Amino acid sequence: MPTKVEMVTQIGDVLTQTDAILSAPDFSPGDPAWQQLFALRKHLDDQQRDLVQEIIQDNTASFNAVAAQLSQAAGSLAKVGKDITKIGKILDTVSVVASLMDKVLNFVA
Amino acid sequence: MNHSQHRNSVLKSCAAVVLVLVLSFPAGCGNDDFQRPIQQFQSASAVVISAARQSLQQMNDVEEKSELDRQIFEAEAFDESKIKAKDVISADELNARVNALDQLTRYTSALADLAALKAPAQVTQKFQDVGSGFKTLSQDAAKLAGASGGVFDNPRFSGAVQVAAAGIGAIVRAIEERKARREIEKEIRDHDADVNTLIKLIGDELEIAYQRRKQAESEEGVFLTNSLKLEIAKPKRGDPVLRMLLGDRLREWRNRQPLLANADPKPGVDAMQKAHQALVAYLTADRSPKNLSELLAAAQSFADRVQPLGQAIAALIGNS
Repeated sequence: MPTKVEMVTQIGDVLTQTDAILSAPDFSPGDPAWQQLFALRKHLDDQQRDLVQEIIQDNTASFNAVAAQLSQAAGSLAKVGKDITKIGKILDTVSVVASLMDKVLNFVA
Repeated sequence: MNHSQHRNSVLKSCAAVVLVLVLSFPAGCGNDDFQRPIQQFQSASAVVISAARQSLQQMNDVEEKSELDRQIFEAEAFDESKIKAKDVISADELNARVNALDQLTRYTSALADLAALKAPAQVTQKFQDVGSGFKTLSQDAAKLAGASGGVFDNPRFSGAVQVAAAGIGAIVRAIEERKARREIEKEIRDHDADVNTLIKLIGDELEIAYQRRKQAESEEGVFLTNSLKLEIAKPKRGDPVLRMLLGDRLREWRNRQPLLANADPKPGVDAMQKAHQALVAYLTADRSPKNLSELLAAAQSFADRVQPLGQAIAALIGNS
């Protein structure tokens, strides 16, 4: 199972991929989907900061289950790539990552 | 005799000489094979310490700059309090981490002196200095243990420092009391896990600092590319002067990206830990040619690993 630092790196990878999508030439801040993804990006960035600061109880089965789901969600975003025609799928995946991060942050010791 | 047999024979001879000399713990000189990895270790450690200091020192700047960029991009009124609220590390927290790396390097250097058969008085003095350094570090870290609100887990750091300091204190006492070589070796071996825990903890913290820097850089790319998109979307494709200004910042941002990829201090700290472990294995096991060649390889790998790190950190200082 990932350590806290590995999880911080995993979220970092999701943020970097999200930024690449937000920077795509054919995806503009005038698009509501862009604003939605940008809002999710800010939320994920705050969650990464929170994760860094908190002491997480990471030795439980329930934490491991959430960590496994998080790894899977983060991996599936990489598969979608930067294809803006799949923005619905991208938004869903980043939302799932953010909601799993909320669960992770509930494991504060 | 071919080259490999000759080298093996030399290594065995060196190991035999080292074993005899260490058994009697006399004044003497080390061999060239051994001096080179130690010099490499010390030079590479200096790069890691410098990189660690830079990475930690920049943490507040990185977070503040990111918040300021966000306010500008989202057309919010400038708010200094929101910017300052993003600070993540205090001067005391920073100094404790850098001092810990410094003390760990000095400890490894003292172990190297022990293995290189430096004069006993010189070795004892060096260990006493390290013991005293860890004692001060331990007191400083204990003051941080109650501090909260920062990015780092101060109680965990403080705990790791206390344990490592206690272990190194026991080694220093064994050397001061001129205990038998086997007893000194046993102390070193018994407490090495504590030392490694501290090195790993600092490596993890540096990785976190690097990740936050990466995220801030990545976010800046979003602000710059999208500011340009918004400008171009204006009638007559916006203001050409503003486009050029944005273009300049975008160019600087692009130039930083390859440097940033090499600025992660964690692999350097990992290599430092491996070189330390190889030295401890050489010193406390049978001082075999195998252990010596592993030490040589680990020190070379450490030196190779930190070279791009040192270059990247130096370049980023003038390009951030």
